[in-house]
Amino acid sequence: MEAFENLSRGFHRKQEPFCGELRAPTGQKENPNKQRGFNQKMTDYIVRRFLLMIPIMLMVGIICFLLIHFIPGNPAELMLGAEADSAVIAALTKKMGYDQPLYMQFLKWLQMVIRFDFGVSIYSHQPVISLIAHRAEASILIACGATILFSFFGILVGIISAIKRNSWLDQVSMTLSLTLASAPSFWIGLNLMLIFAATLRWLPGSGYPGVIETGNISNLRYLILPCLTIAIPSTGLIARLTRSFFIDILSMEYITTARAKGLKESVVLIKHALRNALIPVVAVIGSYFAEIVSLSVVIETVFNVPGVGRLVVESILQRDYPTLQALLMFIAGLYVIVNFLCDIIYAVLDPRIQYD
Amino acid sequence: MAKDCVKLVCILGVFLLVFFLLAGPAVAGSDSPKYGGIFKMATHQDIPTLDCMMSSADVVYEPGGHIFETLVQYITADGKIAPELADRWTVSKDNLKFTFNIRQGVKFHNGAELTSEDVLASVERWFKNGARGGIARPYLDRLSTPDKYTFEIYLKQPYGPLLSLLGFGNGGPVIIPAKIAREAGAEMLKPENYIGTGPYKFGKWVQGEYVSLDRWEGYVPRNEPPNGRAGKKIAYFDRAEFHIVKEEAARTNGVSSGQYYYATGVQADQYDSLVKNPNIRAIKLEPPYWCQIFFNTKEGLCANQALRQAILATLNMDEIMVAVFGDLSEVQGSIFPKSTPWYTTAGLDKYNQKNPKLGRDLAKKAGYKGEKIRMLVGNMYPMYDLSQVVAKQLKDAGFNVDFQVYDWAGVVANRGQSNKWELFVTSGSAVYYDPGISYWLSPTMPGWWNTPEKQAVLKDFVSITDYKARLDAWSRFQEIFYTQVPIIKFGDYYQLHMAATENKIKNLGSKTHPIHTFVYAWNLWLP
Repeated sequence: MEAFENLSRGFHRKQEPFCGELRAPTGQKENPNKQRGFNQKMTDYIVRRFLLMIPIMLMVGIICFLLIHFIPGNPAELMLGAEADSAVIAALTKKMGYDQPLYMQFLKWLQMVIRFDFGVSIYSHQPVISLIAHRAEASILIACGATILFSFFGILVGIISAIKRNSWLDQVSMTLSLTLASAPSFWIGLNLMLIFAATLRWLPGSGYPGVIETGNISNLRYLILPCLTIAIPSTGLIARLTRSFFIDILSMEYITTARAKGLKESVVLIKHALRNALIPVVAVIGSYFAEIVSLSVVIETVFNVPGVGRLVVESILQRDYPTLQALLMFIAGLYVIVNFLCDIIYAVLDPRIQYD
Repeated sequence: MAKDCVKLVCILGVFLLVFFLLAGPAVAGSDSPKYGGIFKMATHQDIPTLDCMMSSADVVYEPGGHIFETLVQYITADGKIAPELADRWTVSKDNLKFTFNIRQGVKFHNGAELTSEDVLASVERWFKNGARGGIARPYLDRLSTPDKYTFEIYLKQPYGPLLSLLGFGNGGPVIIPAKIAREAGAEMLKPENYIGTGPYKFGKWVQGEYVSLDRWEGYVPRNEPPNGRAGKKIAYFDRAEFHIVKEEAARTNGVSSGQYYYATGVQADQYDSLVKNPNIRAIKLEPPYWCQIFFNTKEGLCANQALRQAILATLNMDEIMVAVFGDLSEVQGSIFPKSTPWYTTAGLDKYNQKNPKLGRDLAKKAGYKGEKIRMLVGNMYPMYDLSQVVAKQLKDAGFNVDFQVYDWAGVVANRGQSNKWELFVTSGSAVYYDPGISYWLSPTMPGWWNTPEKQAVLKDFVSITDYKARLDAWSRFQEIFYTQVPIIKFGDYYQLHMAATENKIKNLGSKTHPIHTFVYAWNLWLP
């Protein structure tokens, strides 16, 4: 968290706060040529970033391939069980091609990836892409639900605390935020399960049958507890971050100028202060989103939700090389895309940010 | 007046008696079997495949044992080998020829009738490629099919454990269609080829989540009464689902709330709380498992028999067993538990000596000078817990233990390389109806125990068929086991499972449906 804060503050320091209204009085239109230039630059930037993704993903793929194959383990031994005959293990290893030199296996993988073929899981023989797509459903839904919850409540509580700085409301909300942010998520999850699933029986405590597969939208109730479990500690964290950035912004001179100009307090807070305060918060929220989609292993395990995080761990433990390889690339791609989207959101929040 | 009262009471009594006699069957009728519902079980391990012939893992046989059947069945309520796909079998006087008469009218899940050709192709694949086929391979002469419903196995020399091996579900010769068996060879069956003759057929497998099986409407049950996994099998449940639930609390809550009827993998320290939970039946799985150290007898420090004996003298089995398994442990050193026909006290004077001083002296005499003893440790229960206690005892006695922790795949990969380790701790089922089919007897198993004394006594053991003579040979084997110390047994422990209570599922755990290593969904029904 500290790292995020420092990073975000560093980012913030480089930028002078945006106070468009002060510099561009009401009624004065922006130069259309300038606007077109900005749009062109933005389009160029998007295209360039997309093209850059290709070498990035290739590098990620190569590094992942090497790392995966350096871990000791042979899937044939795991499939055949601890009591299997060694000759049988050798025969299956050969059939699967894992007795070949690493460079041969790499070339074979590369040939497939160039054709966008990620292969099939060596266990269930399901295509890896469909396996990941199936798992991504729960993960993305949980991440969306949790992100909406913690962004809304976290930012709201953070702003209120910043405005009512040092009041009892600020102290109570910040103490509560710190407590929530410090609580281990599995502990929160198990307690929620105990209260809402085992005792009150309002919500299911385990599993997720899927909405796409069953066509039953009411299955979303299976995701309520996992969403809450992730959202509760994250709300605390986002609230503290927002408060901190908001207080920084409120103490800046352009806010004093805005107030001196006689602007309404709500305009000062929402139009001038909030936009600037949110830029670093968006960076954190973006990273959180990618993290929830890909690495919520603990929550997925506690609630037995078939998500991407669990698939990563299962693939590592089972040495399911094709699945693991594709998963790591999926996660890397997700981070690249989320960072890219965050950059675009910065530009929306602060039009002065230009990507040359 | 008094007489009238007596008369009235008598009439009332007779009336009530008649009422209860008539109503009795109706009340009992609510317990009578009925079709419908979904059997749901939570398993704590990932299911790597459903190819039971190729995988020796228990977790594969849990669902797989519903799809596939074997010629004979040894997990029975009466403990005797019973027919399954074979109607009957005969063994020649010289014990070299086994003839099986195949049941007629049995249908595979693809609708084709089972014939001796399918049996031959399956058994052939198993001898060549099956997980446990290698044990019996040296004894096989040839296989033949004199007619459509007769199958014969010819041996080069008598082999006592053959029938037990043929009844083995996980890693044994399950019967599949001939074409599939021949095409698969050494490769794992693909899901579309999970075609057997069992009461449930393969439905769906969502990797890492669940396996779902549907009732096989074409199943023709045997006529004998249910006898454990053998006898008449009726699939009352429409479907059987095997869910992978890694978190123990989720499994416990699931069974408690009625989401699952059965769950595996409960740690021993949960036993007391399970017993107190009115919504759960704590199942101490009979017969117990064993846990042990495997030594690398091929290479490195522990190839020295004297050093292995020193470690055996050091260990305190009471501490190890109680620390890890608590009330579920049984400190006894016979390789097979007391409840099996292979229990013997031979060699047990060397078991549980708990004498670190003697261990130190023996190690010194063996030439041990404090070199690193590399211990491969799996990071899961109970291997990790056992390893910690063992390492502590050895360190206290002056052994320099190098604790190397891996996930299970890492342990399995490393243990196959004799230059990477000195010992590792593991656990598993010891209960085979015939000790001769124990996987760890193979000289190719990591540990590579292959001395002339061992091989000679084993040869005796597997080539005789008389029980008393075989028990005598097994006792001699156990003497060698405790002298050469290829493995150190800590003791026996009961696996802890949990089941829903009788008011949620019927017949589970009854005399005809004992819970014996594996649970199965047939002959069970909902109230």
